[in-house]
Amino acid sequence: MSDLSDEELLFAYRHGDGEAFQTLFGRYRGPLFNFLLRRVRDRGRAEELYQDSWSKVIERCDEFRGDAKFSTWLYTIARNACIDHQRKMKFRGHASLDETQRGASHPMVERVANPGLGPDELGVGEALRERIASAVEDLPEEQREVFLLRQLQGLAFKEVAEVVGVPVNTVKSRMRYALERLQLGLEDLREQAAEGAGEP
Amino acid sequence: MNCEDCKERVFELIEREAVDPEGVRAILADCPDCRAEFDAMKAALVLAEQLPVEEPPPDIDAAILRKAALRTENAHKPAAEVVQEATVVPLRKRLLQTPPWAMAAVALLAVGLGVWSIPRDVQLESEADSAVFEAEEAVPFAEAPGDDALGGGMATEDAFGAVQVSDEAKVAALNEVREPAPVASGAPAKGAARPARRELPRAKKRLDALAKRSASGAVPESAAASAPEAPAQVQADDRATARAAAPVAAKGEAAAERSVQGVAVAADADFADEEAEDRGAKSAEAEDCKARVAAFERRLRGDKGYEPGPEEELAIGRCYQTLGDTAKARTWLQRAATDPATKRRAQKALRSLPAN
Repeated sequence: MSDLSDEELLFAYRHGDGEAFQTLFGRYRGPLFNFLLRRVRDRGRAEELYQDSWSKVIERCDEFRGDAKFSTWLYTIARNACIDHQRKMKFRGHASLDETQRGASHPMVERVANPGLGPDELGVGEALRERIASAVEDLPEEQREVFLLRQLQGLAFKEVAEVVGVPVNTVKSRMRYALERLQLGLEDLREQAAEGAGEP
Repeated sequence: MNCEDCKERVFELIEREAVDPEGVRAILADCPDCRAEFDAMKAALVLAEQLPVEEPPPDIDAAILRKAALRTENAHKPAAEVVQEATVVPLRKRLLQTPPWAMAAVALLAVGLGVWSIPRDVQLESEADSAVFEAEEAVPFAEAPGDDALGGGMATEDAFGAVQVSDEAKVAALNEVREPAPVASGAPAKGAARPARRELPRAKKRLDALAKRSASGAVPESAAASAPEAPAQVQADDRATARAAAPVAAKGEAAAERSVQGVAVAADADFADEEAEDRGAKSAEAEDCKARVAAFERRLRGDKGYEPGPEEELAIGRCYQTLGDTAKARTWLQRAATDPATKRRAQKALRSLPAN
């Protein structure tokens, strides 16, 4: 079962093979959840969107024609769910965390106190991961979603382009800008990371 | 490869390095800037790999797997069962949904209000109809032979066993009043000799009046009193019988015919009543005319210079007409016809005079 492609597993599930779905679910559950978590930056909403996305996969699996990869289809569903959610929040008058409010010099996300543990309480690795997570969340939305799709799920640039709906070169540019921004934000950690990667 | 190309292909180079490190190193060796860009991207990607990965909640995973399993189970079920399971009505919606008994109650209430709102006159008419049918049973010579012109199919039996006569039958009854009965019947219908134009509206009027009176239970008496043709004794007996047996016994075609014939007889009795009234009125009118003519002639003889006006001429002409003096009536009516004020009325009266 594990050597079957995503598309083959989905077709098997469509024909009543419950085990095929479990295998498929196992492949994507972690990356999808993390994509949603970093995308909406709220665990509760991420959980809600995660469940909604899988529910849509189950309900609409008969509509999957196989002319695109399953991963592209899955992340398109998830991304659309995020966009719908953002629209609802906008309609209800919720302020975006990325917006710089009147009278404030920085976006709200930069002014929210980090409820996580400080470096003293964490090990070095944990602190590094927290810094990176924070830096990723600071990325502009367009760059962030490209970075997350590429980095978390390892989608090819072409697939990312299909999910996001922009040309491949635009996706590459966004990815490069995202990495440059991360690099700037994590300047102090760069050397440490380079050492960890075993660079000469 | 220039610097722009290098920037665009930096991710390819990073990926390629894993399989061809020497080739990538050769490409980047000529340009320090490109090499720096390459190193920076690579370091950032290494950092990005440190992005913490979080686990989705197990209960949500379990819920998703349950839903997926349910779908595979439903794939082997009949479609009807699947639809039934899928259409679970939320509690809030269920509470707001109108229960079937309430809908039935509303429907009953609407029907009740509809019946209650029917005008009282209509109800009285329908009650009168049934009373008339009872009275019809009481008319003895309704069973006279030869009145089969009504035929079958005009009477129907309702749910309670009472016989209802259709409109067609009623019209036939009226026609019977208007038209002479067949000779073969041996029992000519009353009023058969009357001119149809006069009789039909009167018959209708009388029939309505009879129906209204019969609603208050006065029909049999009235019919018996004003119909000398119907022997009172037999009529009374039949009435009693009819009252007792009408709802159940008056069934079928024969009963319907009897009913219709009874209506016709009752109408005839009323005609006789009216005729008597007419006769009385005519005699009073004749008396009045006599007096007027006498007074007029006296004045005419006594006053040589008397010149009656057109209205007086018309009136006296009509009086002579009533008294049967056609010649004098014609003379005075012709004089009245010379005046424009009375010309039309006088000419009309002249036309009604018998020809010489």
